Amino acid sequence: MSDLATAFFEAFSFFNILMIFAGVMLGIIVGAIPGLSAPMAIAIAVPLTFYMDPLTALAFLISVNKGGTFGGAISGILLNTPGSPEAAATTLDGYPLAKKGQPIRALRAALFASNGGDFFSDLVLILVAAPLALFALKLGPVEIGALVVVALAFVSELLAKSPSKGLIAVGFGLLVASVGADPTMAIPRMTFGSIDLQGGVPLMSVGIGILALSEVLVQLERRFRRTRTIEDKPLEFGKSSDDRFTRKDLRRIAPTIGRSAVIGTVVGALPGLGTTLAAFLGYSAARRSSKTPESFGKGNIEGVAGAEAANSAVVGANLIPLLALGIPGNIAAALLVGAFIIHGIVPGPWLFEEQPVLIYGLFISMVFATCMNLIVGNLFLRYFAMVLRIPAYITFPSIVFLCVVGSYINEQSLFAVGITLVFGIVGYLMRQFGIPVVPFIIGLILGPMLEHSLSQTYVLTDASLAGLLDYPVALALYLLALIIILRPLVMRRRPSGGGEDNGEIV
Amino acid sequence: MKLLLKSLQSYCLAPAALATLLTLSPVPVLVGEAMAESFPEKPVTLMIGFRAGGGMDTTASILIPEIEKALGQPVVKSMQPGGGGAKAASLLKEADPDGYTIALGATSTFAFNPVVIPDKTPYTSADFDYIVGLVGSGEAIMARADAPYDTFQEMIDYAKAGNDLTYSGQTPFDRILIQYLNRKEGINIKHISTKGGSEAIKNILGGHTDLSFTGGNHLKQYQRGEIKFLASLRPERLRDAPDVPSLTELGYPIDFGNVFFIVAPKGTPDDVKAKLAEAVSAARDSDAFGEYMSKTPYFTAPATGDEIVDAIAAQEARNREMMQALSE
Repeated sequence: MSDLATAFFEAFSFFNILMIFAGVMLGIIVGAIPGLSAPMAIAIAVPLTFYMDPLTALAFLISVNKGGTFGGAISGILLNTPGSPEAAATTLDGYPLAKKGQPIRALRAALFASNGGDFFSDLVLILVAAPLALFALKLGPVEIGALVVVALAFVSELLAKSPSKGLIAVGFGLLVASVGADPTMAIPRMTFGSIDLQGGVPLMSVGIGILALSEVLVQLERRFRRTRTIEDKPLEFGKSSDDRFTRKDLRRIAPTIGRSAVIGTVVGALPGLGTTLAAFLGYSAARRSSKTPESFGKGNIEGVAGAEAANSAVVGANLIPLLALGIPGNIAAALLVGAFIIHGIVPGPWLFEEQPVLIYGLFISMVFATCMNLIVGNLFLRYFAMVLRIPAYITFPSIVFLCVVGSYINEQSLFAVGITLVFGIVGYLMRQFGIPVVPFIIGLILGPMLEHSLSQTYVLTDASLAGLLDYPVALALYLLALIIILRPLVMRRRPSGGGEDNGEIV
Repeated sequence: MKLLLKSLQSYCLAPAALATLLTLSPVPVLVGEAMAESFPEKPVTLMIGFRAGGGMDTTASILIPEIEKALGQPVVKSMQPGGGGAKAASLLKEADPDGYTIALGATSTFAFNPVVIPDKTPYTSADFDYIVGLVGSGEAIMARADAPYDTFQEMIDYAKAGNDLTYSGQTPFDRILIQYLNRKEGINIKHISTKGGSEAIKNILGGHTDLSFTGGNHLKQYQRGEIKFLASLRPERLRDAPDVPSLTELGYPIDFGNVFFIVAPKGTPDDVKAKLAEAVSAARDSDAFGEYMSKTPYFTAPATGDEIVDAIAAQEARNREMMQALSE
């Protein structure tokens, strides 16, 4: 009990609170800037925390991560330039809302969803980390591979509008992701002798180019071609009464937040899946359970909430495998391990006995950081939206500049900047030909995961379907994937199905 | 608080150094003895061939301020992960041998890739000058504590009795190692590639594979009795498990003992190398670095350039022997 009291005392020290505030602010800003991301900021900040005490160091880094996941939504919603792949799902409905003159409503939905999901996963971490982690440990390479297939099947409906173009985009994403050393033999493939490509195409740089830079090009072109039309006027905010986030809205998105929080927490508890997958799963789940799925992609706050709650829930949950088993679940958690190690602490279940004050202090700080995120976000929301008042001739060059700088910081090579520029143009061409960008990102992010797991499955099952019989859980998951894919085909046969899907995915 | 300010200061210097580097790098550099006396006159680029935020990146981050102190010039990190350091080595080979571009490399980068996948590796160990050793780690084969074998030999016997085993690998070296063991002992160990230590330990603790490689960062699990080490993959025994023999000791031509060191392109002037070695040694032996090291699974490896060359040569010889046995 005295440990808990000490932990409270330390967590609420002035310096700790200050650093949580600084972390959240830094995270929101870095997340909101297209091209920069929270993991990038954490990587840079880890050595910096050498000079803080362990609790403050970890609280600071986790706050950066928490702020960053919400921050990513801001530029996506306001400018249609998501700074990182995980915010791409939020943008699907966030930007249409902003265009309708409801940017504040969209931002506030994102803020509440983000912190709702985050808070839920914090609670799960604090209360049931150990059993959940033990369950996750039971899922081996074969089961994880099956799970990735289920996830792919689940998000495949994002292709609904134009399956052929969507599949082209997914295939293209897979192709780009497969450049570099192959995951089993480490033999370079499709590198065309380039040393720079040996380590693969830098995925973040591709993401920045495809998502943010290409949007700038599209907007530029629009400006060149047309005289000023109504559409080209700067977006308004806070003017119309529609642009308010009401109690009714909150009630409307609450079930979506709950559902996505669970999805994000489960994804976060399983090492290696990540925030982008969670965001798309959360979005798809919201769309599937909606009574009006056709309104998704046209500005439905449930879409915003579904994506945001899920990707934020990963942040708390990815500490579950770390603290319960000593296994970092994703890049952000692996970076936190670095911060632990710098302070001479090896993260794992032993911390509960060896460093109870640190663990309790960390839990308290996490919940506190979530509250801080909500407060800071709420206070500054209107100021974020002022980005819309900045004239385009300042905004767009700034975004281009930040994309280039972000890509450079991430990889610390000019080659990565070249990749961003090339994929900015590729993304622009894709949009010109009506090939959706989002499925490309899905292929890009999930492709390597899928290949990795399937190559493992191939070895473990002796490359025979019969070998799969030893893995009943995986088998059940593959069947589930099959059902998810086939269900719409079966449903469409029914006359009352009304299966026409008009969901617009840009 | 004072410390924090200091760190902020040094952090703010990094972008400035970067800017300086960017403006300076296109200027042609004179290579020669005359220049060496004044070395270093501008920031030094240190390439890291491993993942940002990983063990080597963190180690470099602690080391760099100390090197800067000794060198009197900023040291700029350049992350070039890929191929177990191969990408950084390939880039380093092409760099000017003036001491302004150096890299943090590992023994296996130079002793494994050029020998085992020569057609995919654009360099050999002879293309570089080795400056000074920094740290080593504890490479080993691990199994879950409740595995039905306690030693490497018992594991081989268990496999020979017709039990197929599975192995989580982390490097290209692993795959060759398992191929070699399967061939030599007539057993069947299935090798799957994992993305690193976290996935490997998950496979061991969750019972998804019987064996796994460890780079040395699972000491905690070992001390808690959750895993056991079957053999050290270094030529010597593990610092933290002195009862476990090494595979070299058991008569296998296998050596995966990595030392991480500073390496420069071939032809770097001797006095530049001496200055670098002096500065890096001072950093390695500093209190700040010592404090950091005492908390990590790594150990200090104060090898000289010649000792590194010898270690690489020894490992190359064993790798050749292993490849020879595989091709028979």
